[in-house]
Amino acid sequence: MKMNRLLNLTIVTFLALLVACGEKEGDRSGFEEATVVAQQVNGENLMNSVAELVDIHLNDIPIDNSECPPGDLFPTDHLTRNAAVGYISEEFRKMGYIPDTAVLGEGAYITYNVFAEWPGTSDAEEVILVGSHLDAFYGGADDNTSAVAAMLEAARIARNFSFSHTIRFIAFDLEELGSIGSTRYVEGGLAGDVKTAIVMDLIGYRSFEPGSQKSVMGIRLPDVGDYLMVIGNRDSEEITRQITDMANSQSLSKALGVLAPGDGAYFLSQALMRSDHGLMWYKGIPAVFFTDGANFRNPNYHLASDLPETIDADFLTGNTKVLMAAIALLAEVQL
Amino acid sequence: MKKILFITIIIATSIFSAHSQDRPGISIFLHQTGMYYSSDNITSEGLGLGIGAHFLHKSQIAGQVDANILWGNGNAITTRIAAGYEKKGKWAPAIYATCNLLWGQRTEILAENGDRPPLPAWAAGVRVTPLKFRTGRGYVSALEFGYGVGPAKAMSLEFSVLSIGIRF
Amino acid sequence: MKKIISSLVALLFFLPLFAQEKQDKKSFEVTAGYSMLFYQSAYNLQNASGIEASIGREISDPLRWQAGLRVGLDPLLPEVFGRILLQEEVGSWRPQIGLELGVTGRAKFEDGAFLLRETREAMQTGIDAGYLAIHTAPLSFRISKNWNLSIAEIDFGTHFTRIGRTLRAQVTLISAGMKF
Repeated sequence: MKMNRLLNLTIVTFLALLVACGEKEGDRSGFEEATVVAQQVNGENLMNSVAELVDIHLNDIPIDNSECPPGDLFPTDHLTRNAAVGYISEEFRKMGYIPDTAVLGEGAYITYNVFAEWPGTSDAEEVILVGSHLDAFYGGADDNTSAVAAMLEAARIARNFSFSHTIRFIAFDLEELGSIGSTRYVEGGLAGDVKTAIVMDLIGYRSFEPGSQKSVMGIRLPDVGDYLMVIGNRDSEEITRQITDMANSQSLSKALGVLAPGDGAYFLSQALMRSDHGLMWYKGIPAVFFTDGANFRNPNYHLASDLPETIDADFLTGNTKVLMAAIALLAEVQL
Repeated sequence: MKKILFITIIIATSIFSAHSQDRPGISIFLHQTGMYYSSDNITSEGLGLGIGAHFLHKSQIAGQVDANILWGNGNAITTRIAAGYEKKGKWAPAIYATCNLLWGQRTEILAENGDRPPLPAWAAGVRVTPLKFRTGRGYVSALEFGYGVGPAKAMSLEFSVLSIGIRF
Repeated sequence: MKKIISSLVALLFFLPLFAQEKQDKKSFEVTAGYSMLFYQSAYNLQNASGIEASIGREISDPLRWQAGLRVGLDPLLPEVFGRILLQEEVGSWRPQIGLELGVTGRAKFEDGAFLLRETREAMQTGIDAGYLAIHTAPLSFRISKNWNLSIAEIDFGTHFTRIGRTLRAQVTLISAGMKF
């Protein structure tokens, strides 16, 4: 008798566990307004920025790499950033911003995080951070001038609109040596006012070939690398879902949403943390990461062949539209 | 999915209720386990521990339910129901039909409209326990292996290093 | 390697079929062993060898308790642990499984590598000293009335704070125990 009760309890419990939680339908309010803003993106501006910045990197003097000798896919003897700092500051200035630089650390690996802000109206104290890293190996067309170009184009467009929240466009320094600039920025308490961050790293390479996209540490991905990865975690789940839906439903760019488990800082999911959003995830700052898959897709990753002619202009334009729409949605554009 | 699980549970229930006058042996067990589950929209994996109950009817018909927590890619939680055949005697290898449900944390690929994949994920398959020995108190089993398949081209691999069950 | 594994599996299969004289379970058992510990937390990964010593006794068949001290080598870092174990005996095979709780000073990830150093340091906050692990001794054998030998004991564990974030995987390569 006792056994039958135990058996019945076990079965009932198991059946109860089968009931899946229903997913509520996605909220698409704000998508149309965000798309209006996104349509301002000019692909020609993007490719001009990529070409200029790649040229600057190729003609710049590499940093002192005595503490980090070069390794496989890690050519630290070709890492440049100094001239890019000046270029980005000047581009902000030309747009009418007053750029600033968060100079953090000291010595050979002092970091210069260049940023400019477009103040919000009603909720200006809450910041939407848009980040990309400014250092590059060789010319770094995809890694990471594609993302810097997108950030600059978004900064140009933002000035034509009003937003509830402040938007901070920031180019982080020395990401290639381990996200040094963004780590110091977060550890220094400078991200305390960030409501949400969008961080970009390699957003310009696309391939339509089967097998062009490899899986990432056992995470199975669609094997044709023709999409932008929009990667979030538990803290940015809703934003990640919204951006994925908006990109696809508004035909801005083909987007694949990925959610890392929990806050993402686990052994097998840490590949999804590999950029300036990594410490933000660890510290609980909601952050979404845009990437084309880096070395899991782009054969020119960290090589001298990472040049403007390998960038897919339409793909970069579409991804910049996704960025601009996401900014408009998160910062609450006022049309 | 629910139909398959419902049928599995009906079969398991009927096996045990058909001879309701005979009381199956019940053992509570602890095991050290690992799992890798990969589909087009979910990746869940890890190493950890589990606890469950093992039922034995007429020394040959076996059933099992267990719950596990696995670490490595977040905190993955799995629950399993299994039914199968176990050999009589001191050496008692067994083969089970299994159904695993995957809960907890996992890496997810969203749908185009941002929807998350269903929770729980599931896989149905087979599990073998070739090194299982009955003892006076219950059983010991080493190196159990399982393989399952599920929706969205899901593939599940699981193993247990050691499982000890104590009968009550 | 294949021959070694095949031999161990064969041993595991045949030995339990032969009963042997049982040991006095009320006596204390002291064990000493040598282990390898793999620690991982976010970007941090380290591995270190260690030596351990423990004492244990039966509570009530088949439950046992065990308490011990483990010292990591290079650097020297201590940890203390306690276990509640289920132990079975099948002939001379005496496998064990149980839960281990411990307090460790070994969750330190000092690594000279430059790459990601500052980020790794920033990600070491909030790692507490307490951990939980599942312990198994699948290849533990009674080799005489008072002596036991165990190889390849396996522990999987995690720390209590942000459970699942910091992983421990330990293999006790060899452990010998004596009853008194």
